[in-house]
Amino acid sequence: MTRIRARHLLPALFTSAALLIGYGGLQTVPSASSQTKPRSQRAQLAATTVTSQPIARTWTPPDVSKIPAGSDGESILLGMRIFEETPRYAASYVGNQLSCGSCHLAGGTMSYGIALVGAPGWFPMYSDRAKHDITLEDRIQECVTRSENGTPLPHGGAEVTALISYMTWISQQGAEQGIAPVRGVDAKMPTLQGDATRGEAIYKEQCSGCHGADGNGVPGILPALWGPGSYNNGAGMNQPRRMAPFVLHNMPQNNPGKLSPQEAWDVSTYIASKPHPQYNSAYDNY
Amino acid sequence: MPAWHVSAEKDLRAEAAYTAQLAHPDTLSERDQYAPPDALAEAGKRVYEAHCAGCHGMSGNGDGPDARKYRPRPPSFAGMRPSFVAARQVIQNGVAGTAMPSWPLLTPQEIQAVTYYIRSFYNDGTAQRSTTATTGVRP
Repeated sequence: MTRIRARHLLPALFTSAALLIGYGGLQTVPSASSQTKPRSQRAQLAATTVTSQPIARTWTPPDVSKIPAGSDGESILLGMRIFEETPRYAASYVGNQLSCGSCHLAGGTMSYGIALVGAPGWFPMYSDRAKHDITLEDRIQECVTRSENGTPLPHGGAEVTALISYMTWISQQGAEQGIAPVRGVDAKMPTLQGDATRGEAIYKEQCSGCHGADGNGVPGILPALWGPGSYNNGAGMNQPRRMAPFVLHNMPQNNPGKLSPQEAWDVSTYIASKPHPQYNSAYDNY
Repeated sequence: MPAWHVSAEKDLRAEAAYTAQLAHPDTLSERDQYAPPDALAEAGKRVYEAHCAGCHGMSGNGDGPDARKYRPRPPSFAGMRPSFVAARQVIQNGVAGTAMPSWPLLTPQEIQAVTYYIRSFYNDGTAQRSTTATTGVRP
C-alpha cells in the first residue's frame, strides 16, 4: 500500500504549488526556512510536522454517469448505494444508522477521509486484529460487525460482491487519473496522550452543534458518535489513535484543520470514553 | 406581455412559478428521502447553523455577521427556494465569482437535510414567514 501511495503521490508533489504533501500523508507548508535546511533535517521536519492548513483535495471523484451498463454496472451501482446509504440497502445486516460513507468520505474517494481508491489491490493483507492474512471481504465484514455494529454479510453474496465492484470501479477511475487520494487514517501524526476533560470542552464547542450534546447525531443524517446508534467498541473509530487523524483532517466539518493534533487527540479520547455498544467477539474470525 | 420591470408583482410571481415548474422537480419523493421530514429539518438546522448561518444569517435572510464582507452579498432564502438538484450543485461546487465555496465534506444526506431546511425559509408572499421547518415533504 505504501508503495502504491508513494507512486501516486509523486506527481502531486511536483504539481501542487500551494501545498507540499509530505511523507506518509503529512502535509507541510513550504517555508523559506524549511527550504534552506539540510535534506536530512527537512525530511525530519516533514515527518514530524502536522499543520492546521486546509487540505489539498486534488483528486477528482469518479463520474457516476461513467458506470457501465449491464450486470457489472448494476453491481457497481448497488455497491455505491450500499456504501452511501447502508441502513437502507443492507438493512438486514447493520445494527445502527451509520453508512460506509459516514467515515469513508465522498464515497471513499476523499483524501484523508479514509479513501478506498486502490483498496482491492491491498489484499490479501496481514491483519493485526486477525493475526493472519485477510481478504477484502474479510475487511468489509470487520466494518460491518464493528463500525456498523451488525452481523456479517452473506459470504460471497450480492452485497459483498457489489461493494467490491464499487471499490474496484473507483480504483479503476483512480488509475486512469494516475493519482490516488491519500487514505489518511494512518497519517503519521504525533502519538499524544489525550485528555478526556479537555476533550469534553472541545466537543461542546466544536462538535455538539451537529453531533449533539448527547452524541446521538440525527439518525440517518448526522453520525452518532456514541450511544446505541453508534459504532461498537470493536471499531477502529473507537480508538483515539485512529480517530485523531480523521478529526484532525476532516473536523469540524465547517472548518477542517482548525484543531491542533493535541486537540484532536483530546476530543477523540473524550468520545472513546463515552458508552458504545459491545462488540460481539463471535465475529473475531474476520 | 409587458416588460418585466413594469409587470405587476403578481404577474411576475405567476411567471416565476411557471418557469420553476419547467425545471427540476421541486419536491422530494418519500423514496428519495434519507430520513423522515422532522429528522431532515433537525439535521438541516444543525448543518445550516454550522456551515451557512455565518453568511446567510440564522433566519436565512442573507444577513449573517460575515455577509457584509462580500460582493455580491449572500442571497436571502426568503426570496429563493432552490430545488434539491440545484442546491446540491451549488453546495458541492460553490458559485464562481462569489464568496460561496464548495463544501466537499458534506455527505449526500447532509446536503439533502440542509437543503430541506433552507427551503423552509422561503416566503412566497402568501404565507406567514416561518423560521423553523415544518413537517411535510414540501420544504
